[in-house]
Amino acid sequence: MTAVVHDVYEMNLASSGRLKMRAKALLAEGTPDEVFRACVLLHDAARIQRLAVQALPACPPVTLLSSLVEECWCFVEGRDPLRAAETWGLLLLAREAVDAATAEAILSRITPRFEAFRQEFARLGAASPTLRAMVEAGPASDPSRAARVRARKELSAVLARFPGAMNFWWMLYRLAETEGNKSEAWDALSRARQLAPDNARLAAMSLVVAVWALPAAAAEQHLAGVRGTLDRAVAEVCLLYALAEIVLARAAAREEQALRWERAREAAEAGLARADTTELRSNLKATQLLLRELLAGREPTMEVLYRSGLGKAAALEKPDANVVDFLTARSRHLSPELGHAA
Amino acid sequence: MSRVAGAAPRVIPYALEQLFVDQSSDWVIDAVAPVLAWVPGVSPAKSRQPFRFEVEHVEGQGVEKVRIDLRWDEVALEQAVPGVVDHARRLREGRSVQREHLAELAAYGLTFVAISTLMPGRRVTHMQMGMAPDILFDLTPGALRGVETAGRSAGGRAALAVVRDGTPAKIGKRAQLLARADLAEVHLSLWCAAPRVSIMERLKP
Repeated sequence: MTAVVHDVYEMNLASSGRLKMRAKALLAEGTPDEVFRACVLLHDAARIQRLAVQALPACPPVTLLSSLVEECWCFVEGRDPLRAAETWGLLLLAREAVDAATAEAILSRITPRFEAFRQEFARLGAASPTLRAMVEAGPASDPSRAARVRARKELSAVLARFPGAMNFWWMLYRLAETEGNKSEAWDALSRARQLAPDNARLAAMSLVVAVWALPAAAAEQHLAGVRGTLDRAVAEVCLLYALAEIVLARAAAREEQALRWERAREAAEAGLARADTTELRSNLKATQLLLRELLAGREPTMEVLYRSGLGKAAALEKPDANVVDFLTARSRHLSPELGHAA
Repeated sequence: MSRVAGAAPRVIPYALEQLFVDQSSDWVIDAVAPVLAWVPGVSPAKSRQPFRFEVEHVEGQGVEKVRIDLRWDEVALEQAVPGVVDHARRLREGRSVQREHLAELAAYGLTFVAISTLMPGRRVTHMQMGMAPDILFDLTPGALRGVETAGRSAGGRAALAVVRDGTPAKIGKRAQLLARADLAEVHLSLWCAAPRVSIMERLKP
């Protein structure tokens, strides 16, 4: 290993270690807020741990196994059963390349912890039939009012035990969004984002949710934080940034309105150059057509959807539906995983 | 190192605030409040400084008895970690406090003291928590060097011996660490708050 590679490896590991120490101190205090902060730090620590190993040009099997154990521990202590389970799978594969005695010794702490954690989650999962049904129905599911009440009760129990599970915060966001509870929706989505800061889908969604849920000044502040990153952002962030600017432009004075439309146009253009799916390209094209109408002083109609390849979605809407509302509402219902549109 | 049964122990006075000189504050900063909360215990009679730890320091075949007299200056600690005294009070009295995490953090802090006094010059470079050893000096893949720690609130040397040697139902830390081919050097650092005793043992090489 070269000195530089080793330095990068050590620097990343040290950074991960510091986060784990901080997280443990917060866990010791034990209040819900501090436990959530600890979960966020432990997710960060896991991410950095993985980066550290990826920096090694040739990672010895025992080092890979050790790193996955540490990552899995971060998700167990960070109360995220789904990420812990994913990492456990990788760990089982890595174990095969390590001699049995060493592997057993390395796994001796994590194995009983993971198993107890898994069982705890399975028990709670079995006691949460409504949530299971919602997960199986997918992000586009539209549960009844009674189902939402049951789901909220179950979610509350799950999040009390597993506050590090991003997917459950996302489910809470969806319930709150469906019910029009803006502050709860924003809080839940923000927590999901803190646990998965590299999730571009959540970052993108936060833009349209911000203009829906927050006062205009706060929404603008949120958009401003993203504006400087658009030159390297993924297409989805560009798309939803453009839509968010269009929404904010509605209530703006003439000069500001033109500025926001121009920003939206540039973002849509940047996104189109990076779009890698037909659906994204169609949405960006629709946004461009919509902006062309706005800049020409015309009210955009659902026609822009048909012309950009979104005819199937448009056909299900009322012909006089507001096309901006249609596009932004759709964007608030995306799943947290890229490539899984509502 | 002497190998004596009845000889007077070597006494090492140590001020906790010295940890900020001997080790990187990155590691020390979160361990200070737990030490302040855990070491004095609840008995006022036993809450006076210095806090005396009887340490059994084992290196190979040699066993040295060491007494670490730990004390601290709250004003100096507050300068290094603002709010640390109040934080320690919360950890001592808080209803939501997770005792298991508190004991672990305190054991880390005491191990930093032991490293600084019994292994002078050694600097902690990393902490890991999913597997032993918890505290590392050297991260060379396949040839790690470090210290495994544990803290017990009560039970004295007998409780620490169980941690080290295990039980018929559970393998001890010593055997687990000796089975590891990826460790070039490893020590055990075990601490009990009541009575205040410790085992510091070099297992490898």
